[in-house]
Amino acid sequence: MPEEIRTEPGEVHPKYWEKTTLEAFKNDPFRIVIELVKNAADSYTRLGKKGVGKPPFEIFVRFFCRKKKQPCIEVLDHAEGMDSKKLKEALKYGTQTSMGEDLEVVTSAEKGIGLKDAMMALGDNWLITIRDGFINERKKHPDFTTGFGKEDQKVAEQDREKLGIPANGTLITGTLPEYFHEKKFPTICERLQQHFLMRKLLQNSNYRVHAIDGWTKEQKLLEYKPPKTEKQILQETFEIDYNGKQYKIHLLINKTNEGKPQGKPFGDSGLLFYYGEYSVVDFTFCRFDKELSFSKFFGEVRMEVETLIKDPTEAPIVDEKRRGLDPEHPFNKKLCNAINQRLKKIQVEEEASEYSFDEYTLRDILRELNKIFKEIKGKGPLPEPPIKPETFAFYPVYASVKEYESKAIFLIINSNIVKDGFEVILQSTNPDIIVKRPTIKIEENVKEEFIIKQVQLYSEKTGTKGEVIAKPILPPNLEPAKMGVEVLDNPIFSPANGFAFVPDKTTIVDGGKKKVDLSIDKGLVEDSGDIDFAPSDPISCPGKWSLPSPENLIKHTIKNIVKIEMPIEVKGKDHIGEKADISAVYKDKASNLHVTVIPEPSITGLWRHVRLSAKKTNRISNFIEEEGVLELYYRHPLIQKYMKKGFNNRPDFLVFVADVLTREAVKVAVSSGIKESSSRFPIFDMDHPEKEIEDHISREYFEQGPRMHELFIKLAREIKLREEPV
Amino acid sequence: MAKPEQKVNDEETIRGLAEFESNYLSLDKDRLVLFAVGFLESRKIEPTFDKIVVAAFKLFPKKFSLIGFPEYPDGRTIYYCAYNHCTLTKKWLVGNVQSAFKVTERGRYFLDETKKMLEGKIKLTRVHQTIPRRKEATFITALKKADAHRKYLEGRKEEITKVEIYEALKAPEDSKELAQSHLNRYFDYAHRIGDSHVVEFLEFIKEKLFGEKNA
Repeated sequence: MPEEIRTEPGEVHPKYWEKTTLEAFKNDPFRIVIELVKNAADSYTRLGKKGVGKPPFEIFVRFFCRKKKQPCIEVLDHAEGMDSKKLKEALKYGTQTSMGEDLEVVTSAEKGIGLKDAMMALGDNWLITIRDGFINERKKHPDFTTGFGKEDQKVAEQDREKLGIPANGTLITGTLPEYFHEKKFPTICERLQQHFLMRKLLQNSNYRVHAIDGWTKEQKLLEYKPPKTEKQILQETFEIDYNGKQYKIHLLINKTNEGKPQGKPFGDSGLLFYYGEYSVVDFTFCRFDKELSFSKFFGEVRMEVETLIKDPTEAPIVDEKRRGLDPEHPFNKKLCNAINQRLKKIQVEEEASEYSFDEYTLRDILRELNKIFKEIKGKGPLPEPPIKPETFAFYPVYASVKEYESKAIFLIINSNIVKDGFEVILQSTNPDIIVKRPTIKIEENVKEEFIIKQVQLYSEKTGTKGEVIAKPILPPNLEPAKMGVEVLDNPIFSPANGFAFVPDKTTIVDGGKKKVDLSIDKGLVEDSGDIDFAPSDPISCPGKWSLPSPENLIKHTIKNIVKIEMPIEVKGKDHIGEKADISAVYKDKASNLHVTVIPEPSITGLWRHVRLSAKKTNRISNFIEEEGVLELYYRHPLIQKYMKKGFNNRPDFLVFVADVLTREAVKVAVSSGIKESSSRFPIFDMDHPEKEIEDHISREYFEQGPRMHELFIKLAREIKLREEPV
Repeated sequence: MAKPEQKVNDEETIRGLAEFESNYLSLDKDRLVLFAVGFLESRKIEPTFDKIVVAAFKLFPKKFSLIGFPEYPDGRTIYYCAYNHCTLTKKWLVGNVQSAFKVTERGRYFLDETKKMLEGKIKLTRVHQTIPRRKEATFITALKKADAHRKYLEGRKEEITKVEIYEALKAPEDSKELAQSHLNRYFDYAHRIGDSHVVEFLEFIKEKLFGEKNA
């Protein structure tokens, strides 16, 4: 161990180092070793560029692993070595220093992590370097002072032998810090081989990195083997236009046959961003990082950005803590955007489902499901009645009823008068005004302060007026309540010209179907005949409609008119906002219907879509919360097992799919209910809620499961192959 | 000579009307105008517009007076209730200012219901606003919707920031003079519509803004 003769003060406050470098090392302690290895490799590269030395360039990393103590490390190279002047620069903060493998690239050493940082992280560190026959020894103290051993002393032959540096070269020694948790030599070797920052260096045949067990002298050549390529997905060179210059980017994406671990620092699945020969700056799938659908993909992004890095006016593309590409750098934003676009395309192709559910069935089922969720979540308090009578009263006290159409009004009853039972008879003063269900009876005890009972009124005689009186039987001495009723014309019985669409304006959902009413005065319909229809784009309907035969006409006749329900539909999709006309002609009569195509009303509620996905995942079904989508992964082996020919009608397939979806849906409903603080899902043990959540899920599965099951069976029956090419 | 005497009698009758004794503040103004028309009809007084205005004001002065002038009727509001709402929309009345008004058959049912409400036999769940929609009410309503007022109501006074106070006062942050001027005007409006809660809130704002300056 060298002897420290003197010290020199440091240049920056240790706090700065703690905030930046130490944090980076703690997140990824292997970087201490890697910085030293890469420093050695950079030195060889510079030598190589000067035409001195021939590959393979060898770097020796010796580990002295101990069970209860931190491993000691020695990194040795036979490259340039450093004289005292170069050493001063290399160990000082805030000066211009060479960076990386490119000799000409200079940047401020304040940015990023380098030799001095790695040394600072090592306990009892020493840097011993020999250049042109002179030896120098330095160490970095935790307070940033630089310790000096030998300074530009002529090196003795026995020192060379002891250090293992026959010509020029550098040896760095020290103890790895406490946050470096690996203690076994084989594990350390494995981790180093797998680390993303080492991959390009280990794949480069010009460099050989040897790991040596300091105790057993076992030597291992570190290698990186990328996953086996099953298929090349993309090989493309494109340019990024930044500050008026074009930077070439070479993108290669491969696919392997099985899912790989994703992300930094040891994952296999990701894109390795690098420049030069081995200078790796990041390992990521940009926006698609950790997306399960990319777990079989890997590749690299070679960036011809040397001129950008050389530019002293440019901010470094790697972030200050060297975690990866600085996401705020404008060049990186453009680069990631370009990569994301390509990845998105790949994802769409990968996950394109071959199957879909029938749209109309799906919409019905989603509505039902959301209703069930509301029930599961529990109802809020009942809406307050608009009036609060002392006894009972009609609301509203006067109603206008359209002929041939029912109208609901309400009887609001104060529960104070219901204690011993309640019964009223509803009487109409005009026999042409009919009260459906003329008795209201309440026998049971009610909790609500007011009871709201619906009363249906109906009349077929326009112009009629009358009263509905609610006469109490129980309790007997109460004052009756009354309301006024008038019967108004229904416009369907007054078609303009005796032949008209009623109403003459309508809307239709984009890509949807509906029925519209055509009213014909009975007097105009003589014999069976045809009505001609002429729709304009994008609406279609039958061109001819035969009137029913006289014996069947009665079924379509109401009062004085014959009512015809005409099916219409939008031709395809993407016609939102378009208007069309349908003209109908019968004998000398004609009518026009104005149709406007409107967007599909969005499904609101917890579930907004149920999708058959081609994703290959370990799950059979999943809920994508942010999209409100319940996904069924039909490539899952268990689904595939039942997805045989004619699966739509196979009970085993239908039951299995329905059960999977029901279980997932119940789970989602309960967890959403808990999130929304529904009183139905109280959690008493907030520290360990899992058991109680499970109990809620089981209860709901038994209570709501059968209904959901039926809905999902209905939906699974409607699985069909996608019509449009995917 | 009997005819002019009759006229004087109608007017005197209306002049002599006393404020309705029961709680009418929660009822909507349309119902109260309908009641006033029904009241005139029941006393064989022709419900001309002017008579409706005075009768409605005399019976329900707290609902139909001008802001800051409680001794004068708010003719504009009564006109809107009688013609726009009760006649055109709800069809409780027929008529207009030129022809006078009359309760319709439909209106009778609502009049009976209103009487029950005034007698307390039926209560309305929704409480209707008393103050006419004039500038004072509009600005105080806007002030009540400000974040600062919301936090004040929720008892989070210490969380109210200066930015929120300036926003509530509709004054730019760099203009204390304008904030002071707006504050004085809000005080005036709140006093005029008799909103003591808003006055308290404005006192709080005043102390927070200008009390700190003195400190």
